[in-house]
Amino acid sequence: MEIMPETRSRDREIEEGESGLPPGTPTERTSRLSGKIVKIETDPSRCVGCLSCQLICSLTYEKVFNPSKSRILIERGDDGFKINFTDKCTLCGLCVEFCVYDALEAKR
Amino acid sequence: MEIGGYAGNILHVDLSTHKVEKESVTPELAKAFIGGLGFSVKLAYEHVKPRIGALSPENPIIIGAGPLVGTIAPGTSRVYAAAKFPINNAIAWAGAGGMTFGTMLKNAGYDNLVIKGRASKPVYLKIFDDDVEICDAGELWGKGIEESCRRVWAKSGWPVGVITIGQAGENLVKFAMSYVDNASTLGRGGFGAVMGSKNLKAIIVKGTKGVRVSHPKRFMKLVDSLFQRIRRWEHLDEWHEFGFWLGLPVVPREMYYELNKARLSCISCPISDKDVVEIKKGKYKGLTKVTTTAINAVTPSLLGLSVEDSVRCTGTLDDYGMDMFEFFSVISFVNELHDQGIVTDQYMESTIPFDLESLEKWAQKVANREGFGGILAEGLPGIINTFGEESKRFAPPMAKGLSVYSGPTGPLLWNRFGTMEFSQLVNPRGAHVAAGGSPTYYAVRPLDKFPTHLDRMGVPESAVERILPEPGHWQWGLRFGLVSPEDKVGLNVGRMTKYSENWLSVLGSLGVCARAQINRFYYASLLAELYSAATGIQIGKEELMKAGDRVWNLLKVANVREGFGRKDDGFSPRWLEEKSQFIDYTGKVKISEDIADRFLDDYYQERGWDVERGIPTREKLLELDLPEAAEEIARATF
Repeated sequence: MEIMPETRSRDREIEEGESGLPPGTPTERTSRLSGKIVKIETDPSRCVGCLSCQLICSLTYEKVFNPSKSRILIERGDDGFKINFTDKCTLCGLCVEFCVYDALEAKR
Repeated sequence: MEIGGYAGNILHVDLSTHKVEKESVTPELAKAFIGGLGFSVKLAYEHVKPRIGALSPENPIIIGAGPLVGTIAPGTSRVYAAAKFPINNAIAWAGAGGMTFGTMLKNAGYDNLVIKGRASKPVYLKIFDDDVEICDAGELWGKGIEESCRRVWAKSGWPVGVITIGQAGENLVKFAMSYVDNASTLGRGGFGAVMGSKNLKAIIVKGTKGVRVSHPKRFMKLVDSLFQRIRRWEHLDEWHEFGFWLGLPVVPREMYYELNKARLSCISCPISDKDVVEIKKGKYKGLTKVTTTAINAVTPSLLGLSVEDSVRCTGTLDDYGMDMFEFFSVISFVNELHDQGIVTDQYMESTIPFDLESLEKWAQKVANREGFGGILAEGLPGIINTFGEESKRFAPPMAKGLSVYSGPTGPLLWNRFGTMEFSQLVNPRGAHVAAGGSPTYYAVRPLDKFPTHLDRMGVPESAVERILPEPGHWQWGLRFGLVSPEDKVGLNVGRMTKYSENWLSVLGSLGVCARAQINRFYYASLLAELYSAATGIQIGKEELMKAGDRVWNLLKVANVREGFGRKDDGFSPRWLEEKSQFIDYTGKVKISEDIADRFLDDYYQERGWDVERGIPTREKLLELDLPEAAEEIARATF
């Protein structure tokens, strides 16, 4: 696969570690956390409704991108978003790693 | 046959006969036209019969979402539409951030919609999985965009996707748009009026079927790596903080804090740009508004309104469902015609002052076609039509009947002649900047960034040399003595625009966002890999880019049969007049009519088109595997 060529000046993507994030892709980071998460804390004020959490959850556990089959559910009301989890949630943490808005945080 | 990524069906609905039919997506169609924008263009070529009226029942409304829409690939929610647009009778494309609509459409089981006919009374189209119903819209008709969406969600819940029109669309205002989920806009050339002409107030979709990809592991490996790069992007926090506010650096950042209430995103978007703004002081304190970006909401403040009045004004225009830029252009045009004595007091007693009260009054007159507002509702071409040829020279700079966005006299006050400026002239739909954008393009970007930038877009090396000639050696110009040796036009925007258009064509067909801050993370070979993993149809970078080329060429052919050619791609004289100070991209050469014409020559030549007529050649269309279009172009008689 072609490697992203541009790393200069304004387009520079920051090096591993510099971002304050642990190294690795979201999936790699999730696998390191496997079994260690005791709670997922939510900050609905940071949620923008991208539903990436529902998409990764449904693909992982139902083999299909389908927001209605996710174990994390985002609702939109007049006062913003609400974040809920169904009883089937196993605290795997994938939704946390795919939430780039930091509305979810894994507690170990 | 089920193909990954695709929902597998094109839904045909006839509002006159209530006939509903499904057509299967074939692997051949998928590979040749990709989906989304590509399918919409292909369907428009088939279903928009030549020379039909844009507001006639025969003109189809075509809406689609590409094979990546509904997946987690970042920023893949785009919705594309096509129809004949009433402002200029072009067969036009329109694109919008899909919010929930695109994903819900795919989840309901459809890649595209083709809606024809005319309902006998106001209706909305409900598509909930296999339940497709034409429903009475009596309660929604006459309501604004926001109220219409609110009522739909109150009844059917979120994330039901909604495309709706306001009063402007109902009353066939020729720059009425459709709105996606009360946030994104679709089709400033009057797509909203096409819906209105069908008595179609809204389309609402909800789906529970899901979107499957053929090779989930391969697909997720690519997506995983994309997310990693996005999370490590040094400007991510800044974009999260300010959203698209960063897109217009002339507006102070502090102002964003005064307005911002919340941010909204399209599904799968990691860099959201839809804002909820709130007026914090003055007469309209507490008024909130969802906007395609907060920047749009404050744009009239650059023209003299207070920020609060600006937010209120754009809110009103959005709620009627009409394009802000076109509205301000028609106001400024009739004001000038009044000053010139061409628009007499019988039409309007005085020029329209640029204050909130007057603008809201005229917005209402236009949206409801009251009195002289009915003539403004016809747009710039309609005003010229009413007041005759002598009015034409006072018209704002236009391309195919729509006012140009950027440029020295445009609302964005930009005087460099880049691809976003040039592309407005050659875009079959008329003035619109998106097709001139590219992954990392922004104005005054240094030229040494371009080779990498062009590589992302899949531009062949041989073309890079033509796009970026050595300074001072604009070969053909020197050879023919058209440009003096002192002139240094370092970026050939004519040639580059072909590749910007093809890039948009590919992104739009797949469903990837057109905004630079999203598609900068993509590059041609990655898009080909994603498509192959999602669909199971193996395709390389060259083949994918060729599909983009095919889509744009077919769009052009659809317009050639409507009579469009080089004569319609010309520069508006006002765009080139002395005071406009248009200079080339590198800031060294004033753009004269000669240079502008040469850019046009180069554009057509790069596209492999007939330079004199500005239309695709038979050979080019055969090369793109479009035999039917090739025969049609061979018969074109102008």
